[in-house]
Amino acid sequence: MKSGYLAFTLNGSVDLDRLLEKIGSLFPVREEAVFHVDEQYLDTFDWRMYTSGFVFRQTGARYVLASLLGTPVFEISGPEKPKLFWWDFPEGILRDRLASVSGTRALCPVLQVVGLRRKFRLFNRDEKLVLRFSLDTGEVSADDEDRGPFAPYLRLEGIRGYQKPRHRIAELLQRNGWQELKAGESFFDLILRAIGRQPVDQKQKASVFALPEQTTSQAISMIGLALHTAMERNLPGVLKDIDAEFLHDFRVALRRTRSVLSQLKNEIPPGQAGVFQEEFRWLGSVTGPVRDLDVCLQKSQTYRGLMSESLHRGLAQLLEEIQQQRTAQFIKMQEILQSARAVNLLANWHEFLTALPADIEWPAGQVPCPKVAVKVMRRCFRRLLRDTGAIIGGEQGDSAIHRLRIQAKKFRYMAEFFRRFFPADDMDVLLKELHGLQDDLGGFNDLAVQIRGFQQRRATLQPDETIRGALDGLLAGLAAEKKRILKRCVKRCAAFMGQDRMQAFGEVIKNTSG
Amino acid sequence: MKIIAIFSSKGGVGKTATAVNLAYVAALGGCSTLLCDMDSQGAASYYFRIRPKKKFNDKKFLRGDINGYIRGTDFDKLDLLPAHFSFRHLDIELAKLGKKGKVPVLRSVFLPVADDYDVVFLDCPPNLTLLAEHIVRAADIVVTPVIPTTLSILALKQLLKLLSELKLDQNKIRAFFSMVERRKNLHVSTIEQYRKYPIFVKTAIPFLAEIEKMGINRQPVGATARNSSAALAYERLWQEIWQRS
Ligand SMILES: Nc1ncnc2c1ncn2[C@@H]1O[C@H](COP(=O)(O)OP(=O)(O)O)[C@@H](O)[C@H]1O
Ligand SMILES: [Mg+2]
Repeated sequence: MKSGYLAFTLNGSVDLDRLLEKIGSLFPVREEAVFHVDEQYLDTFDWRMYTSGFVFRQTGARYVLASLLGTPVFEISGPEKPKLFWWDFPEGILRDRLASVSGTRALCPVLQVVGLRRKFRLFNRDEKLVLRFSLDTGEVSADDEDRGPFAPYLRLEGIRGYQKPRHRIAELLQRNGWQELKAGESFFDLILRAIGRQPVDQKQKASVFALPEQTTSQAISMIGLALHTAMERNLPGVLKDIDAEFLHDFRVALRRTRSVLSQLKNEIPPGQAGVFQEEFRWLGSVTGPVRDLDVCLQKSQTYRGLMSESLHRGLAQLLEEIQQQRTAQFIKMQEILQSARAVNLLANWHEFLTALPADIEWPAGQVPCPKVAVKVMRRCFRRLLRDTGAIIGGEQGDSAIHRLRIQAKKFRYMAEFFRRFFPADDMDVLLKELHGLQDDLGGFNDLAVQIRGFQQRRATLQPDETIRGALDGLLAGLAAEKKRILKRCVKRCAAFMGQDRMQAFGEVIKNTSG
Repeated sequence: MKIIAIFSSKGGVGKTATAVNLAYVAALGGCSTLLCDMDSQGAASYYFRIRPKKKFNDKKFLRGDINGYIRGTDFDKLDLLPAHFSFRHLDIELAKLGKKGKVPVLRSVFLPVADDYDVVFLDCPPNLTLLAEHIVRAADIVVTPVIPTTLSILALKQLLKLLSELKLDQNKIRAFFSMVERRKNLHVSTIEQYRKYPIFVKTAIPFLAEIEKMGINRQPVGATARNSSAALAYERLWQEIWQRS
């Protein structure tokens, strides 16, 4: 059992006959089996499987969840579909594991491996098995463009108590040009390398921040382009409707872009800023309805918990309607996102950002970035305090909460863009404090949006419809929930304002000079 | 980790054949299994083509220094601790140790690998002295093969006596009839007389050429022929023993 393995790879192709001859001169060797391998590797768009240390393979209807280093953990049969969610699998441990790793994201094929796996056994003079090894050769492809042979992969499986044979074969391999894989490197890494991919190449979050030596124009350009990339990266997934996260991430990048435009509008050539602001507001409004419905659909379990069992049938009917509505809204949005207006907006924005740093006609852009950062942060902070204060002072309607929520977001976005210009410790603590408050503000807003949606729906119902009962139950449940969260929000606001750290941060912002 | 001793004070009753085949079936059924060859003749080790490392010895064994001497068999989930020639002195070494500690000596030997294995089989040498005492103390289950003959029944009675002298629970004994030949009247009548006692499990292992041939094939009967009657008999025996534990 306890034995361990060593993995090797080779530059170029294997001459198997010669290799077996060499190994055979040390130990009798026998081929145990040959397998034809035709496997797909599935992962989410942001490589959640990989980053959690798993690979998820599919051959036909068979699925294997394995550790990154190849040890199978679970096997299961499942449907054969171009994209899968955890809920497509039968209940069990594998499904639970998938759920915790992939969440709401779809699992899609990222790589396909076609090849041969040969297995061999080595014996000693007593004909006792002393070592196993397997050799994988073949081709890997991703999409249609990237395709090519992967480097041969040879894996020595030691037998407990027989270290010497493993050692001797390892030496032999090294003498013959095989290289041992680095610790933690897996077959999966090897095949990724064959087509020049890196698992995290999609992932780099928009954690871009302005640098002290940049001019304002340079910083805006850099940040704007990073957000533009994030939008472009998510757009295909939005259009193909792979999972709800694409639209969500697209809209986050969009919101950040809008924050840059609104908070730094005096630093951007006039006219231009206004046009882009207007256009991006439009883009936000045309993508909003689908997002709101997605949120609704993701909450179906929560809804169920809010109401008595007798209303579940009505709820199912309601959700079915929402799903249909979502499909209709999606088709509309899909069309708009492919319209000339949307396509040109992203192209023009990109062009504008690229040209911005060189625009010397625009003196405000040449101001050192830290100077602007301080100004903007002071303003954002002041407004954050003002709107938080309003809540504590008793203004607790939907709109007051909405205002604070937006203000907190702006503050966070700007604080992230400009984080290099302020003491990191203070900034981190403040942002962490803010995080809890923002969660509740977001939760409150989600509820407000849902309640509004359900109220509208209720107004259009015929009096006798079975859905009515479910809607009434839901609205009552959501209203109670909203009240509860509002209380928490107010408490959090007070706690946030009362923080010594936050007072101190106010000082820091006042005293930091650009 | 359960310790299952295959024990009889008599030689040639099928202890080793039983230990080898039960260990194989247990591993096949998914148990992480260690077979510990305690007989200095090393018959069990021989069946698996495993030789002990030269540096191993009885003292190390009793100290629990076994991790580096366990070897993998050709079969998944089945490891073996080969016997060393020095094991013929286990009795003497045990006498030197005297009585100390609450945990039986032979249990503490396996503590360092307790997390690695679900079951440990002890293939015991024929013995009725100090080593036998240590074995029955340490084991959760004592499986004892009984050839349906007078002498073999005598050996079973000796085992029962040993347990009562040591004030141990006789319920840990699983006796079964071994090397049974239906054409022998003595076998049939002995079985008739004794099988009603609850220490006997239902499954008997017949005298079969396939089992004798293990010495030539050097592997468990199930590895040679998965569905042979010998292989199936050991599977049934294991199921009965495991279920009752
Ligand atoms: N059920 C059986 N049928 C035929 N031969 C057997 C059977 N059980 C054991 N043998 C053979 O009898 C001999 C003694 O068996 P063994 O298992 O070594 O006994 P022990 O370990 O009790 O001394 C061995 O040659 C073995 O192959
Ligand atoms: Mg024996």
